[in-house]
Amino acid sequence: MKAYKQRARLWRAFVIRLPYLWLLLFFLAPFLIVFKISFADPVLAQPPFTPLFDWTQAGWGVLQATLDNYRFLVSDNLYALSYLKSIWVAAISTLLCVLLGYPMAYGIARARPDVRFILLLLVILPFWTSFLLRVYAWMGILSTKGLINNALLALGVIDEPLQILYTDTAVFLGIVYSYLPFMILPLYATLERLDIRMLEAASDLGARPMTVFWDVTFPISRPGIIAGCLLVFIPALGEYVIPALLGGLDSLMIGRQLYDEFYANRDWPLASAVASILLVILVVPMMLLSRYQRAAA
Amino acid sequence: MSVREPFIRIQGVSKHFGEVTAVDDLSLDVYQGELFAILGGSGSGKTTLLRLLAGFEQPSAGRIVIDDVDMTDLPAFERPLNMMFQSYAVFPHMTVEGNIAYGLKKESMDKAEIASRVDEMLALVRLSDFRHRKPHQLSGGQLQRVALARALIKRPKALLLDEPLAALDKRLREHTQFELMNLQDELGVTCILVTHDQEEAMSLASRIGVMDGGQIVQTGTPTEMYEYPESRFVAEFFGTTNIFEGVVRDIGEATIRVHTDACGTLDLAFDLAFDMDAEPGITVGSRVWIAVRPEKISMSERAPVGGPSLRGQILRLGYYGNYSTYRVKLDTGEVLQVSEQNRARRQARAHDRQGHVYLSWDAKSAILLRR
Repeated sequence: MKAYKQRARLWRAFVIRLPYLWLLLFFLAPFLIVFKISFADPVLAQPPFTPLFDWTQAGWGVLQATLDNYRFLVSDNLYALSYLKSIWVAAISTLLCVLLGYPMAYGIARARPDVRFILLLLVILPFWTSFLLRVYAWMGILSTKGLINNALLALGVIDEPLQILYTDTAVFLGIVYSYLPFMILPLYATLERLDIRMLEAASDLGARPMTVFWDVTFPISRPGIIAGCLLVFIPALGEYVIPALLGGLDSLMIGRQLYDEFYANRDWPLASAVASILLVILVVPMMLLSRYQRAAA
Repeated sequence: MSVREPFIRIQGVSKHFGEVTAVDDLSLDVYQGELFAILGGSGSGKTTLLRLLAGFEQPSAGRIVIDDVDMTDLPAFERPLNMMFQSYAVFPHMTVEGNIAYGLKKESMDKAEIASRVDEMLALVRLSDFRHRKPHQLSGGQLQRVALARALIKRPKALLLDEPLAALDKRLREHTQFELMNLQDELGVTCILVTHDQEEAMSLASRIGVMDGGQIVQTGTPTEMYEYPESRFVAEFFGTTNIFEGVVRDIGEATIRVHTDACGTLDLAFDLAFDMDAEPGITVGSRVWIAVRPEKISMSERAPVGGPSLRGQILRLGYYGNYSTYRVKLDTGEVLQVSEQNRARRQARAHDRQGHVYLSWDAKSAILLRR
């Protein structure tokens, strides 16, 4: 009996710690490696950076960390501009996703159960095709000889093809298209659970339909909005593929800078520093948010 | 004294949902200050009727008039009625105070006035100490009082209650029931409540309407509904009852004689329950039903002297402390339910299960039903 209880307690401790173990192994450990590299100097070697401790000198290791990479990031405003541009693009895309996704999620949540299933399926369906393939498809649609331009030319709306591909417009389109489901699904989950009686109660107490929305539906769905925004904003901030394929050559997004430093310049330490700062940019607002949510509850 | 004018008039209201008729040409008058209960099973249309009153549904036909104003085409947010929902539907993101003040804020009343009305209402439902709490920090009974206060604060012409006690446990129900009645007395607000629970209806309401198939089949005070039902449906809805079919054999001065297969020939006394003017259709040979409530039957070990009785044997006994119920199988094979108060304190059972028992009832206590 005692042994059984002991086993049960161990098992429970294991199950509870499992997600932490996962985070430790696959998030914290890799990040610490990246963080470590960000303090190294680039060298032409394998691996292409200096080790944190130099063991060759004496019998003991000598710490050889440098803040040069961070100093360089601060001195060259190219990086600051890239961060700002990425934040701007991710923020606008997130906003567009909310504006588009909210009515869609609302519509799905209020649809008849059989229709609802089909609509949800339609939202998820694009995931069945490769992400890369879908971005390439947008290139075909947006290019000067693409679907949109051909259609507009044929209709006589324009005389010359519009330059949509390789502009910021194309980047926004690509990001909103790709991440919209991540906004719709959490929003749908909260809106579907919303008790219709709650809306009726507000209406019964004298609120007109629009007032009911702003007083009841919107505040109750706030957790869904926040979840959706995080799910869109975070990956959009570091997005590389969409700006690389759909954006212009001059599009300064941090994901591209990171890629260039890593692969083109083979400067792993600088790339690591870029990534570390990106993480700080993400972690700080999330911590503030969770603090605010705890205060609200 | 002048004849009282109905305060709420439901006139020939119907509601169809596609092929389904939820409310079928229903007319009902409710008077000012009444606590009227609409009682019905699931699918009887009672909830639809309440939603029609609140304005959440539009009637397919008919009119709803409240205090001489036609409400039929008014949307819910313009009707002078407020509702307390079965699930309470308290806004989870607002405090107790915020919930209660909501209705007044929508009237754009000035802040000081709202504050004083909210204070008054919080005191009335004894939630003053909980005003800054969020709904998830409240118990079921407290949530219910928030919902009630929120519905009462606009001083509605009528308060609509959807199964007000259903979500509470038994102990809290009794407490809340008296609280609701006191509140209603104090404020004098007209209440219409909907319930499937006959006890809830009988204990709370001053008048009850029983609904079946989208129509009101009978209205009356709780006593009228229990003691003088007009149909088997109503008799069976309120409590338990023994019903047997029979044929009228003779109609006398003050009695009517009915032959039943179950209990042989029975004499029923004329009473309010059975008024020949009210039931003109009854003649010798009419098919009727006789209903006898379990508590109206007396049971003894020896055949009572000077009166007819039915002999039987106790099949089963249910002991509830203050009373016991017995299932008695008559010699004819019919099984009757009998209940008896346990007046004396004793260890042994009041009745022997082996021997015979004799059942009898007052001729005035049997109910004659045509439907």
